[in-house]
Amino acid sequence: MITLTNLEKIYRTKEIETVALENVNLTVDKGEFLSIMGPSGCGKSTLLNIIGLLDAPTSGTVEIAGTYTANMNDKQLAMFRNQKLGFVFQSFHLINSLNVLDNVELPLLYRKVSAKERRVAAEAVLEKVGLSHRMRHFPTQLSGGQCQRVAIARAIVGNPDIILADEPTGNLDSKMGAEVMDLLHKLNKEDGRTIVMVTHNEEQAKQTSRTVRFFDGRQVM
Amino acid sequence: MLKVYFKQAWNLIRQERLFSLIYIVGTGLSVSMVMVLSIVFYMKVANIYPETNRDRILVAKSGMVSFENGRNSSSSLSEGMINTCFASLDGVEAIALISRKDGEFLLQPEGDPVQLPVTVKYVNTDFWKVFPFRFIDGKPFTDADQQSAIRTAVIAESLSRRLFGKDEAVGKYISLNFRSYRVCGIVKDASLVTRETYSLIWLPYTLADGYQPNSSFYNTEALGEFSAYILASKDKNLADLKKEAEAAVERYGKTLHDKTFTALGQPDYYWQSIFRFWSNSRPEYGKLVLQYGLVLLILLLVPAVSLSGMTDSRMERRLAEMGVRRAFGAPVTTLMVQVISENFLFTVLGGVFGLLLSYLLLYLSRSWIMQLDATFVDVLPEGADVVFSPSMLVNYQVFGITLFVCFLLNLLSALIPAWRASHRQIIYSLNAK
Amino acid sequence: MLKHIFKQLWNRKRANIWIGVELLLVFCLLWYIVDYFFVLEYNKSLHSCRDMDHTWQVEVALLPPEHSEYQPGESDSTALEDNCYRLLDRIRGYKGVEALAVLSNWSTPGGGGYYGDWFRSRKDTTRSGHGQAILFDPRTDFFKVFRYTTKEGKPVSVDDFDWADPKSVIIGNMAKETFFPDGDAIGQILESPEKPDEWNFVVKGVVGDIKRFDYERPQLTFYRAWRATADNITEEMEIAVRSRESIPDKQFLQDFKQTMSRELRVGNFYLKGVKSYNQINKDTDFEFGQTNNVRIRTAFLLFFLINIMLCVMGTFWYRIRMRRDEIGLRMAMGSTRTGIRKLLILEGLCLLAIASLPGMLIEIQLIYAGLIETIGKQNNQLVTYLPDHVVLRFILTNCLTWVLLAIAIVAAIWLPADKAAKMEPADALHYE
Repeated sequence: MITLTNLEKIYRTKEIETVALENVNLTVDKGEFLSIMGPSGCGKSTLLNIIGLLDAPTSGTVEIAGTYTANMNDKQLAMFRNQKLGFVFQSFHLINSLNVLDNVELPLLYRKVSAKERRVAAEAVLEKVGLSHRMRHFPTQLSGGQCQRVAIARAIVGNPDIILADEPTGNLDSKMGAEVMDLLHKLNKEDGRTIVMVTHNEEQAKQTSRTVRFFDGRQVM
Repeated sequence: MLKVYFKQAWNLIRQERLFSLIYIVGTGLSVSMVMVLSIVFYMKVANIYPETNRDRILVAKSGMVSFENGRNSSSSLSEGMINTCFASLDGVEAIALISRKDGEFLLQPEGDPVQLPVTVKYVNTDFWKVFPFRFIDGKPFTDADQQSAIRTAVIAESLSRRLFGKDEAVGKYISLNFRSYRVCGIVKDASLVTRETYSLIWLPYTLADGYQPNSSFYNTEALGEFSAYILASKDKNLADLKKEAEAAVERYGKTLHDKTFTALGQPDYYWQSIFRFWSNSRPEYGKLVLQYGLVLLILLLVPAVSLSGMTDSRMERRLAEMGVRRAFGAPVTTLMVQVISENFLFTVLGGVFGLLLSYLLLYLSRSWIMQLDATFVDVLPEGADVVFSPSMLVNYQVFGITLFVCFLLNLLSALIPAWRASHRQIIYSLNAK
Repeated sequence: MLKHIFKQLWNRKRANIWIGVELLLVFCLLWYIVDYFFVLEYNKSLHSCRDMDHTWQVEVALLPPEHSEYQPGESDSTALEDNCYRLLDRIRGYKGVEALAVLSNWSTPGGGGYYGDWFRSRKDTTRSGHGQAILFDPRTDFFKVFRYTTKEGKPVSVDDFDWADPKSVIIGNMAKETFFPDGDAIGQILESPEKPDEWNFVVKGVVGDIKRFDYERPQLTFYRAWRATADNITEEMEIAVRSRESIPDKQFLQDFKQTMSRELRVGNFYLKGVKSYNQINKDTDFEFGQTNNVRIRTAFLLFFLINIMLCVMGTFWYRIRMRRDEIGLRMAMGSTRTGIRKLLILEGLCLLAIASLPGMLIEIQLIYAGLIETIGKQNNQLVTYLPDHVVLRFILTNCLTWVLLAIAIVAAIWLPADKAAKMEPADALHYE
C-alpha cells in the first residue's frame, strides 16, 4: 500500500543543516495498523507528513497505492490527499467557526458531491463514532475526546484507504484515549483501512499489528 | 459550496463581533464616499424628471467668435446660430432654448405686502417637448403666445399652491416685478438637482427684457444668450446626429462676415455638457478622468490596505484551518475562492451600511454636494431646498454601482491575504497557533 | 526599550507590512491636506486693518413704471439725486446707525466684484504693481464704516485726507512699500504704465493693509474717489452702514427694516433689503468654491483619520489575541500592566515613525512636482510669508501631521491595549 525507498529529509537554513530523516525504507501493507514510535524530534512526524503528502522528501521515493508521488503538481496532490488519505491530528484541528456536521463534511466539499449526499455521509460517520446527538454543536462545546472522535469521523467520511494519525491520543486523558484507540481498531478491523499512527504510548503501540521505532532520523529496527 | 462559505463567515461575524464591526464600518465608510460621488454623477447624467430624455439630448451651450484682428469673444449662442445649424438636421425632434437671462424676480402675491423672490426661466415652446414636464393642469404656452410675446406663464405646483391654495390657478394672473402674467399651466415641481431646467416660473423667451428677434451680442451673429438642448428622435443614432451637427456648425462658422465661429466641439452629449464651465475652452476630458480616477483610487485604496491588513490578521488566526483544508485535499484556488467569497459577505454588509450612510451624507450636504466639482458655485435660490426624490437614490443603477464597488473593494482587500494564506506551506499552517 | 520594540517589529514584519503601508499612504495624503489647512489658517491669522462686524449693506431700488405708486415726475435726474441724498440723510439719522458710506458696487467688501488697477511710480518707473481699486464717495466716511486703521492700529477717517483734488488716491501700506520704499509717499504720483499722462493720481495718504478675503494675503489697494450721481445711482451705487455696537445685530436688522421701510419710500425709491457684510463675505466664499474646498478637504481628512484608526484598532486587536502568551510571559517576568499598555502604544508610534520617513521622501517628490498649493500667493510680491519658506513649512506641516496621526493611533490602540493590560497573566499563559 505504501512504499518508501531511501527516503531522506534535510532542513536547510543559511547557517545550519538538520537531517530529519536518513535512509528510510518502509513498506506498509494493505489493512495493516502500523505504529511509529520514538522520542520527540526523532523525525516521526516528518515521516508522517511525507506519507501524507504534506511535505516532500529531499530525496527518495514515495509510492502510495501504486502511485509515485514525486512529480505530482499541487492540484493532483490535493486530489490525491482528498481521495486516498485521512488525517487525525494531535490537536484535533477542528474549525471553530463550523459546527460538528459541517466540520465532518469538509473533505467532501472538495469533491463533486451534492449537499444532500454530504449530509447523509457525514451523519453516517458521526453515527459510527457515536456522536450523532452532537451534530449541531460547535467544537468549543465538546470535550477533547469528543473532538477527536469528530476528527476521526472527518478522516473517514471521504472513505480513504489510509488513515494517518499523529499522536491522536496525545492531548487526551487515558480513558478518552482508550475510546479513540478502540475506534481506530474498529476502523482497521471492520473496514479494513490501513492506519499509520505516530505515538508515544508503548501500550497503544503493542496493540497494533507492527511497530517501527525511530531514533535521530533513522529507523531502529 | 458558497452557502457553506457564507455560513462559516456568518459564524465568524458572530464570534468576533468587535472585529467584524470594525471591518464592516471600514468598508462602509469607503463605500459611502464612493457612492456619494457616484450618486451625484448619476443624478447629473441619468434620466431624471423632468430631464427624462437626457440620453437622447445633445447640448450646445457656448461658442467662440474670432475676429480678423485676432480678438476673441465667447459667450452663449444666438437664436440665429442655433436655428441655422441644428433646426434643419435630419432626426432632430425638437430644440429647447433656455435663455441665460436671469435677474432678480420678485413676485407680488395678491393682498400680501411681502414680495416673494422666485426663480424664472425664459424658454421656448419646444422646451416642453424636450423636457417632458408633467402638467397637472392647463397646457404649455402656445406658439402664438410666444410669437406675439403675450404674457403667459407656466408655474410650478408648489408656487401655485402657495399663491392660490387649492383653487384652480389656470387662467388666473400673477404679478411678477409688477407686471401681470396669465397662468396657462401648472407642472409638477422640478428638483434643484436638475438645475438646468429648475424654476418656479417659465415664461416665453420673447418676453425677456430687451429681446429682439435674431439679435446677437455686439453683432457677432453667432453669440447670444441661449443654450440649446437638441432632442433626437427615437430612431436616430445620437453619435451620427452629433457628427452631423458638428459638421453643420463648422460650415456655419465659415459663412460669417469677417470673422469665424467655433462651438469648441459642441454639441455635447449630455454627460459631456456637465463639465463645460468656460465658454472659451474645451473641457480636458483626459485630465478630468485622471482627476476623478485618482480620487476614486484613493477612496478605495486607503481602506483596501487597511482592510487587507485586517483580513491578513484574520487569516493568520485561521492558518491552522487552512492547513486542515489543504490536508483534506482542497486545491489552492478553491481556498482562495473561499477566502474571497467569505470576505464578500463582510464587504456586502459594509456596502449596505455604506449605501445608507451615503444617503445620509447626501441629505446633509444637499445644499452644495451637487456642485462639488464646480468652479463657481451657485447659491441656492432664496427659500429653495434641494430635494432628492426616492427614485433618484433607490434604483437598480445605484444598487448595481454599489455592488460593483463592493466587488472591487473586496477583491482589493482580500486578494493578497487570500493568496498569502493559501500558499503557505501546509505543515507551517497546521502547526500555527 | 525602543530597540527591543524595533527588533520585534522587524521580526514580525509580515504582520506589520500592511499597517506600515497604510500609515505611509495616510501620512502622505494627510500631510497634503494638513499643508493646505496650515496655509489657510496662517493666512487667516494675518491681520487685516478693516473690520466687517456690525456692517450692513442697505439695498434700495426704484419702483418699476408698472407699479401703482410709481410717480413719473420723480424720475428725472435732479429729482433722482435729490431723493437719493434725502434718503441717505434719513439713514444717517437713524438712531442705530453709527456711520454711513456710499461706494461703488464693484468694491463691495467681501463681495465677488473686483476692479483692478495697474500703477507705477512716476519717480521710479521700474516700480509697478497690480492691485484692487476701492471706489467710494469721499463725502461719506467709508473708512469709519469699515473701521480702517493705520498699520500701527490708529483709527482713520475719510476726513483725515484731502479729497479736493479729483486725482486723490489713498494707498495701503503695502502699496507704499512697493512704490516708494525709501521715502514719503504723500504727494507722489502713481500713473498707469499704459497711459501715464491720462491716468494718474496723487497719493494723499496711507492706511493699513487689508485682505480681500480672509483666506488670502494682504494685497495692494488703492482707494479712489467715486461720486454718486444720477448716472450711476441706480446701477452702481451701494450704501453701507455701521450699526452701534451696543445694539445686538439681530435687533438692529429687525428694527431698521421695520422703521426704514416707511422712511425710505422717497420719490420712487424703496428699501429692498438689508444684508450683513459678513454674510455677503460668506456667500462669496461659497460662490468662489472656497467653502466647498474646505468642506471636501475636511471630509477627506476625517476619512483618512477614521481609516487609520480602524486599521490600527483592528490590527492591534488581533495582534493582542495572537500574542496573549507573550503578554502573559511579560507580566510573569515582572512587567506592570501600565508597562504592557505603554509597550503597545509605543509599538504603534514606532510604526508611525518608520512609515513617516519614506512618507516624507514622497512628499518631497510632490513638492518638486509642483503639486502643492499655496493659497493667496501673488506674483512678484514684496513680503515673504511663512508658507513661502519651503523647508520650514515642510518641517512644520510634517510635525503637525505626525501629531495628528499620533493622537489617532494612541486613541485607537487604547482600547485593545487596555484589554491586554487587564488580562490575568495565568489565563494569558494558558490560553491556546
